[in-house]
Amino acid sequence: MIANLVKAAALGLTLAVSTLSPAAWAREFPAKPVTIIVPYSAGGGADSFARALQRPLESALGTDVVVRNVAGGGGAVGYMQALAARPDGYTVTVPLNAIFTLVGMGNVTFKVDDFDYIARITEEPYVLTVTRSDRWSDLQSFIAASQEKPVTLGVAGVGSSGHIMTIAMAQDLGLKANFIPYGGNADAAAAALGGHIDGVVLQPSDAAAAIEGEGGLIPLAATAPSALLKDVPLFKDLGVDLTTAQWRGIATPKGVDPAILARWEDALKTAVKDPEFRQTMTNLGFDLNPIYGADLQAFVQQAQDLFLPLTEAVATQ
Amino acid sequence: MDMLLDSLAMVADLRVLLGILAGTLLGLIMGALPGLSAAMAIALLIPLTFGMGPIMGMGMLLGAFCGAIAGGAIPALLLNIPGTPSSVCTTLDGFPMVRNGRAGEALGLALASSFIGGVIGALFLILFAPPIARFALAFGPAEFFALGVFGIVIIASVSSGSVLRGVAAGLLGLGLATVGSDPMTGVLRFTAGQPALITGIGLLPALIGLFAVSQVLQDIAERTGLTTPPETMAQPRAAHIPWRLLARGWKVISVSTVIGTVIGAIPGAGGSIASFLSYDQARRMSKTPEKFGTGHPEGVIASESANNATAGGALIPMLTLGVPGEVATAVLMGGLTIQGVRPGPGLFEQQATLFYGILLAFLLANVVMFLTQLLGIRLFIRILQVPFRLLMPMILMFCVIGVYGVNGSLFEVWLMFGFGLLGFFLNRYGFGTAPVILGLILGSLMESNLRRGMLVFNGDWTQFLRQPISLTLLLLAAVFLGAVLWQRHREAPTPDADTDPDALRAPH
Repeated sequence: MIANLVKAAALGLTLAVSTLSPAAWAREFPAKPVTIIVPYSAGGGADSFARALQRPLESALGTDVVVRNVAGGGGAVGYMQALAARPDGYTVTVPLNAIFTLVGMGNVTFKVDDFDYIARITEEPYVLTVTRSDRWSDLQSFIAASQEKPVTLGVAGVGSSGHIMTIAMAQDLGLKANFIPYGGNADAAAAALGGHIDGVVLQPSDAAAAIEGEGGLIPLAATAPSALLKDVPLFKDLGVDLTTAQWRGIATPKGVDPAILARWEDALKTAVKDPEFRQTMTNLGFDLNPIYGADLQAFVQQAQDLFLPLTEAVATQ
Repeated sequence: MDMLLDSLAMVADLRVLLGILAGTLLGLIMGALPGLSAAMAIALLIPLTFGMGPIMGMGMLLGAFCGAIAGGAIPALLLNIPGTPSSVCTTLDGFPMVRNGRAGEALGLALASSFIGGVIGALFLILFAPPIARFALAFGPAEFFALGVFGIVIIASVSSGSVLRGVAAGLLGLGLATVGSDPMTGVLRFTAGQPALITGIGLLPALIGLFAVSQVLQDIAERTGLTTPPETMAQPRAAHIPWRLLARGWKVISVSTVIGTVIGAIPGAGGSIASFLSYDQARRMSKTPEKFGTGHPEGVIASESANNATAGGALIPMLTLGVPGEVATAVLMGGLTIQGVRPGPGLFEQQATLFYGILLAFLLANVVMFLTQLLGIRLFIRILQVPFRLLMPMILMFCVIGVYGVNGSLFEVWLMFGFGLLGFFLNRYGFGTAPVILGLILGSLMESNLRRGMLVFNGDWTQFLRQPISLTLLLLAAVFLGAVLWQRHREAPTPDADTDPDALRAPH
């Protein structure tokens, strides 16, 4: 009886909705709360990013913003759930380099261009940090030491973007290295602090604590500048072309009305100006560096070209 | 001294106290509801702390942390359902105590042990953080692997009846731990195309299924006459703290809190391993080990003092090194970072007042947890008066909400029901469910560290025996295993059998 009532109501609603023209849809967007699917559990970088964005985005969009954590599969479950939603602009997700590495590992059924990328909002460089040792003191001596005896580099998870970046660094620097997979960034950082491995590629938020103190790690070089790591040299300045950074932004399943995408872009442009949001990003060690439109498409293409072949090579090993 | 007084002034603020109280209450509730964990309680509160100062925000989060771990004991005792993975061992003796009509005592004992464990853990954190942090960092692949082997021996202690059946259940857990992507190569194993299984079988759906759902199924079976119900539960006396029992358990408390703090401080080990180790140790030290598992108060004391001490322990590497010990502290660290406070060696050097303020807030959170529960246990015990036909559907509802709420995955809800069915049959045929959880936790720890070690040591397996900590742990495991087998052998009805002790020693 109740089930039938619900069915009838749902049918009525579908009819009412389908009579609206696409243009009317876009004009009325957003007519209900929007959902940000965070493909990781609460407390991580992507989660902090989405939750900090929540309030400024609510005032910019004029509707409620719901943050949902759909963790599992290193992001696979959340991204797949976001892609299963209707492309109506009411469901978005937080894209990171993980999209490229998940696709490259071949564990997911989606493709990189199944998403419409609306914005890249923050960036975080990758930093090569090493343990204190009398065998090396800077990047040159670390590379030289690796020629005599291969060094061990910890990576956070097989096929994670940190893993792929570590491989890319070793290739470009001519490092002889064995890659030791760990469960996560914190585990890998702890192993390096304990001297069980020679080095690890971290992000500024993890690296900032690990390089402090007397027994702390030495940051050799970073792929981009970070407010948290002021005195760390850049690979670029050392003559190595490594500039890829981790990023966070907003994406929707492909096929959303362009007018709705434009509405999203405007709302995000307003939201990122919010002083409290900016402060939270600084605290988290994320650099605000928003790009949209054609710049963003070029950025996604470039990152995809870097990550996909390297990840596919790891997957077929 | 001035610094401590400054910190005291920061904490002795009505708003901070209110923050701690609010956090503790929410933590208690979430810890007590099966499926909602400490990490989730903290994560839920983080957005609320955005506008607060660091001490008030941190006080609230630490309150939730303490409250959730202590709250997990309540359903573990009263319903045989651990509220969090850390309270699995509390069920082993706690629930039999309740069935024997000692619910009031059991609740009081768990509360007092939680408080003592929490405070001692906090004192360790305040006084000995740097050396403990150094010890924790010494844990590399060899040490973690040895810790896992040591943990496997515990299966003999937590098996309810036959050791052989306990081992079988443990093996099942170890087998289930192989599901998911290979930790070293990323190749998918037994995932059947299910993306939710890529990172392995979640501990939460397994735990809730094996303990909570199986309990509900058991109840249905009893009510429909499929199995015979146990003798009716004796009427509990009023909830109170049995100080005498507690005083007699001082040895158990001291050993368990040390184990809890140190294991809690090792990144990647976690509260459930600490409470299993302490329970096992308490049984080993006891003059009456046969009483464990039948409602022995020392079992409750060991598990609860250890798992609350892990809270203080887990804060050690987070605050001094910026490396979180487990999930809840990782979320806690996220909350601190958002506040603009960066945990790590620099925190103490640059913001010592804040550092001590956080420690004092943590100590205070334990006191608040104790006081609120002291009032609360009189209420909690009434859960036993709720008719089972109302209680069981409610438990099932909270299980589904809890498991779905964490990852938003319906698949994990089905997984939970599957584990419920498994747990029901395991209990029915005397295999027990605790060894499965232990196997699931230790399986991935041992596998990944064995293989990681072979990579780091370049295939030289003797390195596992050359590290002092790992050698000690492996030898202890061998000795304990030998002792268990020797004891069984003597109890066996064939007194004229060969008694060569070397034959009983485990290979390593």
